[in-house]
Amino acid sequence: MKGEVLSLIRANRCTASGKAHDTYEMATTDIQAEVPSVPSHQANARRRVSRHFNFTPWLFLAIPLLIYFIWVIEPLFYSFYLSLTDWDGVTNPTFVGLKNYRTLLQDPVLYISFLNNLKVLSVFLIVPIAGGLSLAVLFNRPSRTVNVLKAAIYSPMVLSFIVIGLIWSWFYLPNEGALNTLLRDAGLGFLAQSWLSNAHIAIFSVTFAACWRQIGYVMLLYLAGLNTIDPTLVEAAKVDGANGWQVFARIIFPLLAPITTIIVIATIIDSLQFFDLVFIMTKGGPGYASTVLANFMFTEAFTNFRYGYGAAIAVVQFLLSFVFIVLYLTYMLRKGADTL
Amino acid sequence: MADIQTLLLDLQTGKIARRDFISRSVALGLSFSTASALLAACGSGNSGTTTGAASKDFTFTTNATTPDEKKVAKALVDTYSKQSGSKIKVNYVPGADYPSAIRTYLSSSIPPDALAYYGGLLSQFFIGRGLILDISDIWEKNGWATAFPQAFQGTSKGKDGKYYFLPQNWYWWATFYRPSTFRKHNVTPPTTFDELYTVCNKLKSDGVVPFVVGAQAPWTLAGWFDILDLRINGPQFHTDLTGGKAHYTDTKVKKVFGIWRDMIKRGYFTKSASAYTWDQQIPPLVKGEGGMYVIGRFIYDSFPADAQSDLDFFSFPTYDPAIPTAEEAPVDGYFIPKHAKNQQAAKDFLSYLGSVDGEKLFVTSGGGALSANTQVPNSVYSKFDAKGVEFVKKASAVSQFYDRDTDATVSTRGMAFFGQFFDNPDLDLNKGLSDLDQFAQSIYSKQ
Repeated sequence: MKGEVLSLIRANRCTASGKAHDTYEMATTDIQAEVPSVPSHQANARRRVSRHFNFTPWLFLAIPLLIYFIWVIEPLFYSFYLSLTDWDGVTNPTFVGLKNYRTLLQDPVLYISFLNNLKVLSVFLIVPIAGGLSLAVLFNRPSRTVNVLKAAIYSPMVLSFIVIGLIWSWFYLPNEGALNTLLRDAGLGFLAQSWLSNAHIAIFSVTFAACWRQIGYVMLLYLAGLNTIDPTLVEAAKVDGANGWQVFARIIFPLLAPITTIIVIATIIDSLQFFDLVFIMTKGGPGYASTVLANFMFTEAFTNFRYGYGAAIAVVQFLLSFVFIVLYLTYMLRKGADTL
Repeated sequence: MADIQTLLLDLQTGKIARRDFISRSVALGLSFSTASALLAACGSGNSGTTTGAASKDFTFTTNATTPDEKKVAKALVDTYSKQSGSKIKVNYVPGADYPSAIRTYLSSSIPPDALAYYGGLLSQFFIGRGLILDISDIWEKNGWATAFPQAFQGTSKGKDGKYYFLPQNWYWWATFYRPSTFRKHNVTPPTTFDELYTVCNKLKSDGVVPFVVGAQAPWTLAGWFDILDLRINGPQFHTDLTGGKAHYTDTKVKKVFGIWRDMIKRGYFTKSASAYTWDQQIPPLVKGEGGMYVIGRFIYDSFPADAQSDLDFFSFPTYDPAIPTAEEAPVDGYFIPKHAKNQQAAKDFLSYLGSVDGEKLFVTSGGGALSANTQVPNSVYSKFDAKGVEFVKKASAVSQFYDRDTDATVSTRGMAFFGQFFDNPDLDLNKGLSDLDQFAQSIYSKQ
């Protein structure tokens, strides 16, 4: 009997590999040969349970899966469905096929919005990662002053986007705002700008406010990553005569790759879902100069009540995020496979 | 559906237990969520049947948001409740959520019995979809056809000529200024465009911004477009344009933008206006750094109390004496959903809200707007509001407002274009206007 149990466990453990079947067959044949008293239908029953379906994990997963289905999967598909209708929120949705998508592809606002998302992404990939990484390397030592600074830099993270949006729109005010006042006092009055109402820079001004919040978060992730690096590696490199930059570029940064991956993915998703700050600071203006996809979707769905059209924008936004994520993940996975 | 109805009947009569109901409805091919929604619906249906058909009790949903607005709504509800002996369940929904909430109410099978809403196309949207109850009977019974001005009656009627809406209160848009600032710079309210330019030049040379404007949300610019179009092209063209009968590519519209561009280039407006919310431009007006503000009466409530006595307004100057003067007067009011349970009680409540007594109470408890019922004596108003009544009475025509006269989708695009233009008056106007017109026509052609 002992042999049988063991072989069952073994079989279970390697169900994913092609070997499982053979191992199990061999084991059961052995048992049947050794212990002929076991009725064959019992052995069959055990075999069926173990090979075809293990009930226990599904039992535990049932409730979360149900909830996930009702609140995540079903609305997702419902949005797809809505994007094929002309629902106004009151009367019953009428099926219009791909009409919303055809209109959307001819809508200049779609392209303006997507371009703004890319602008957000480009700034968001550079500023918080460069800033957060530098700060993390700088602060990676135990000291009271450093702890205070870390807390100070992380603190914007606890503020809601609404508060950040309001603070920064006051900071950016053309005449009475702190930024222009500082510039003028420093004799740099020529740099003073109307940060949020200049169509060329409004989206960058808004993104910068988001960077201010993001830097502390990225710093914290990198600090956690730095803690996992084995100090002997750094010491060994130093003994071998590597200078500070070489240690960083050849040892520390490559070892932080998993953290960087997480941050880059999060950044891409955040940039494509950028909404709150634009909504509070510029309302997407002047004109559509700082409108991003999520604002465009919000306006069409919840201001104009063209839910079908809004859903189509949401689907496009979803697909774009999806493409970026898949591209990045395949790239990272392939790279990971190569280095192994 | 027949099977579902039998099922529901079985459930209500206690033939089956709720647990069986779920499994049987699943067997019927309904999803779990539909089944529970049906279950919830019949749960409330059961409790709802206890109220009789002739009940005086009803539910009322309002968009009263600020403490002042809530105070007024509460005063009206409490007084009516005492008078009629009705129990009223009031539901306050914040104004920002209201337009989407009202869609849920009106498409539900158990909507509130009375609802507050905005006039113009915003309520016509629901009336046109057959979701609102015909209340011509209370209009007739209360003699409202003579009590409410013609301009407000139009917005209360459906395409079939029946009344669906009670226009209860309104406010006006005008050019607001501080007489003390004008005295200091030795100017008087202009009545013609020539005078307007003289006043603006004088203020500007004295270092005062002639017109303050906060355009972060571009509706303030829509106010400017409206008044310029009304003065330059007249109320009929403006109605045609906002109603989709005239084109944005019309030379008349280009003329409006030409004059607007000239004013912007002369530096008559706040610089970087879109960096400011509308109320962030009140302080410059109070401090005398700005001269005038084209805005609604609500600026009075946001003005510092000690400066309110020094706030006055005038009609935007005439461009062409041959064109009749029109003003903007958005109206708010109430209607009853078609599927409301307690229709009679709700009609009685609306009758009270539109009556002289109800309107008087609205004004005196601090409504912040004027009574739409003209039988309310002017004596109930403050000096400021009494002047507003006279101001609009003089108008030959009244428009609602750009985003109430124009289809919602088109007005969003229109206002975004005003923002674009205001930020960069040198943009390619022909292209901008033809894009806007193309978009507007694509929407109107569907209706």
